[in-house]
Amino acid sequence: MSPRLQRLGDRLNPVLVKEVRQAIRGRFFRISFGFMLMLAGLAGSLVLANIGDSPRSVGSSGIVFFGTLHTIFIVVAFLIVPQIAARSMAAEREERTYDALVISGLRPAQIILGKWLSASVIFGLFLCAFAPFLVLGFSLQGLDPLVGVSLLMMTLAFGFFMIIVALWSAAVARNRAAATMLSVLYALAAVFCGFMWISLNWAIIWDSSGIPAGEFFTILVLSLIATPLVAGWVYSCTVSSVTHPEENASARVRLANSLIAVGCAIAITMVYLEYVQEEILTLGIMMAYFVITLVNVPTMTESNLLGRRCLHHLEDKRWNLPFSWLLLPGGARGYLLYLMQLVVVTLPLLTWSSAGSSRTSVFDADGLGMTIATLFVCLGCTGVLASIAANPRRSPTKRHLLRMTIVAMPLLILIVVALLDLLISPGRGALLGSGMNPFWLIGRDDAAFSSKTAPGLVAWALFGAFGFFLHLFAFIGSRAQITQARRAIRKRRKQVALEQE
Amino acid sequence: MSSLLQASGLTRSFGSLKAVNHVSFEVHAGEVWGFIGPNGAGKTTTMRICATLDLPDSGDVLVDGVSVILEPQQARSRIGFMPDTLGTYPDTTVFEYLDFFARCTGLRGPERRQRIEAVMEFTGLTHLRERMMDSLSKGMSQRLCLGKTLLHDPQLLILDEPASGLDPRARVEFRELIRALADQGKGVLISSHILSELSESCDGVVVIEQGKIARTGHLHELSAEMSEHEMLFIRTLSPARELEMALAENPGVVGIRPERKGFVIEFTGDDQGIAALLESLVQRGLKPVEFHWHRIDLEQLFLSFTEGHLQ
Repeated sequence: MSPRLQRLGDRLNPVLVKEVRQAIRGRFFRISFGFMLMLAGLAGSLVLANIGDSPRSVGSSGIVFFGTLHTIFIVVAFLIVPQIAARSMAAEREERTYDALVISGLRPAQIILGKWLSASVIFGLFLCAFAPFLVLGFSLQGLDPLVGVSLLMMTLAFGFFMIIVALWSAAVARNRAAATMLSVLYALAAVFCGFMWISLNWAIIWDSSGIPAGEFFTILVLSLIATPLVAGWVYSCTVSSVTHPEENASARVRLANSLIAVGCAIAITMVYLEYVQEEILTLGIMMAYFVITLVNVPTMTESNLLGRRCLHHLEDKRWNLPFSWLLLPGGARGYLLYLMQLVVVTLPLLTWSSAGSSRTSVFDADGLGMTIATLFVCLGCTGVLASIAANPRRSPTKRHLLRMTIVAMPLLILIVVALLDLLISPGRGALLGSGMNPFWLIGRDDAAFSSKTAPGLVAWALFGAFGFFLHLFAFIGSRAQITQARRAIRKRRKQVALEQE
Repeated sequence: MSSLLQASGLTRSFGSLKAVNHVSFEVHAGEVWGFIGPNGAGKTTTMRICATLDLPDSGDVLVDGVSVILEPQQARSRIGFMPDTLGTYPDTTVFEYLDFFARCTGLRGPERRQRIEAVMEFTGLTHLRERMMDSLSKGMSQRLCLGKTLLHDPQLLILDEPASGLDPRARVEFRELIRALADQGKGVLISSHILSELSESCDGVVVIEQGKIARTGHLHELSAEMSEHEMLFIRTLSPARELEMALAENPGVVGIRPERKGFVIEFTGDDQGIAALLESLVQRGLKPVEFHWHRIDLEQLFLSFTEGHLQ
């Protein structure tokens, strides 16, 4: 081996080297690789054998051939390769090798990255094996090459994303029961998503001429931007789940959240500027509010107490940069960052007038009531509950329960309102269909927001505001802890310097 | 002597259970220290804290002056931790296993290969380099685990039950390896249920019960604590009766009990007195073949320092 290659080999992530070596020797890979290739060969041969003499049949042979092979490849991308990744992560815990990995000098981020990269290499091997079949599909008639390549790229992006999701599900599980439950949940989700994507694929390749090229490629570009952003967030959460709670595991998650917020803002603005439809703006911002709320749940519910390891590094250069304190762990700081991200995803509203809208001001728009309602619902669902979860005295189990409650809160509110409705006026829907229901404005583009039209929402928003103040108090307390810790570090350093002198 | 491991005031709770309660002890360079206690006494938790795998609720552990709590990465480069079971990777050979961990510790190129070869030679694994690790015997697995622990040449070794499940020969070989490492100047903290093993290889012990330190110290100190006098073992070629009579006549001997074809005596005198005792035995024509300090019986020490409480 040349010295340059040797140096390159030395620089590779050790987990990547080990995992690829193990996976290629492993029975699961060999069997699934052989089986999928055999299936691809068999399916391809059957399709080729069934091409009739009619011009219609010959003309669509490329579509059928590519569609069939691509369907098998989707199964590989959504189920088999992620399964290999999840098995390798679960095996670390089952075989009790994870501790050895942690003390070997590898950081959790390197371990997860190594696992993801190794599964990606396996995915690459599958792609290489499928490539000749897929190319044959392009050489037959009927398939639009651009559509075919685009779909393949999206399948690859989704495949890489599914690998990290599978790793997350394996990393989060602390015992066998949880691991089994999560792997079943992952399999169900993967089957559902895979089925949806396969159906969509067939619809697109059969009807590619019917889809406006601009729209198709807008969706393609948005998907290709969104997938790495969400994958980055899942990766950060996976690393955080295997890092010790006293270390700062959430800085990466917070950065990923912020990137998602910026990505959402850019995407909404781009799409709005292209189509200039007010609904796109309001609906986009509404969806962004929900997405931002969901991705921030882990960080805004963290304990407000900084761990000893984290406090020890407070005087490092990186923690003295402006606004870097927002990346320190703690629910109060997480909530503050969440509010900032909500502002960021609201910014596309500024493009309203510049895009040549007929309305004079954004605030007189009826459709905006939905957006405001969504914002208030999100703030109401998170504020108080997140501040309770962030209390340092809360146990991890209770914290997890509160997180789940925040996520399920909209559903819980609807159930409560529906039950009250049944008690007060059975069958009439007096509460559910009135302004007393905090969700009433969401989905009604004909109503503007006011305290008279939506008293339920106002009450819910006030509840959210109460949560904001709870976070504010916690934040002030946490600042005091940081200041105290910094003072102690400086004092210690001075002492050490004096001793050295 | 420099203190390589310094644990002070370690406390760790799991819910309402205090697994480790204000534990403090030290391990010095070039010494083997035994960590003994009944099941559930908190040995593994303490060792995991020392190895940076767990965090105490309070207290700290300094490894060569580096805190395992505040600077875990730096501390890890100084620690070699061997858990009670070797986690195996399927479809991996002995060399690949060591190569993987050598890569993890940051060893590169020829330096990595040299280090792996050295470790395999030290642990006697050279002839097994291409063997799949899941086909190794228990003894060989433990050697491999020790080899992995030594890859980054740590100053401190923390070994959790390394001799469990080993046959007598493997145990002896393993003990010799540990002793050789201590002779290289490394500090070793070793937990084991096989107390006879520890008594032959340890310089000191830490006895833990119900999460608290029951006793800690060098073996000769503890031996002195258990008995007010020096303990000596004597065996001669002459009949036991004659030897017993001769010992009983010596004013320095305050207690005699038979053991392994000889006698363990409690002696009150100093080194001069011991020399005089030996001289008197030779003068009486008793032909001594064994005359040495009597090693402390760890089982006895363990029973006397612990009360058998379980958590």
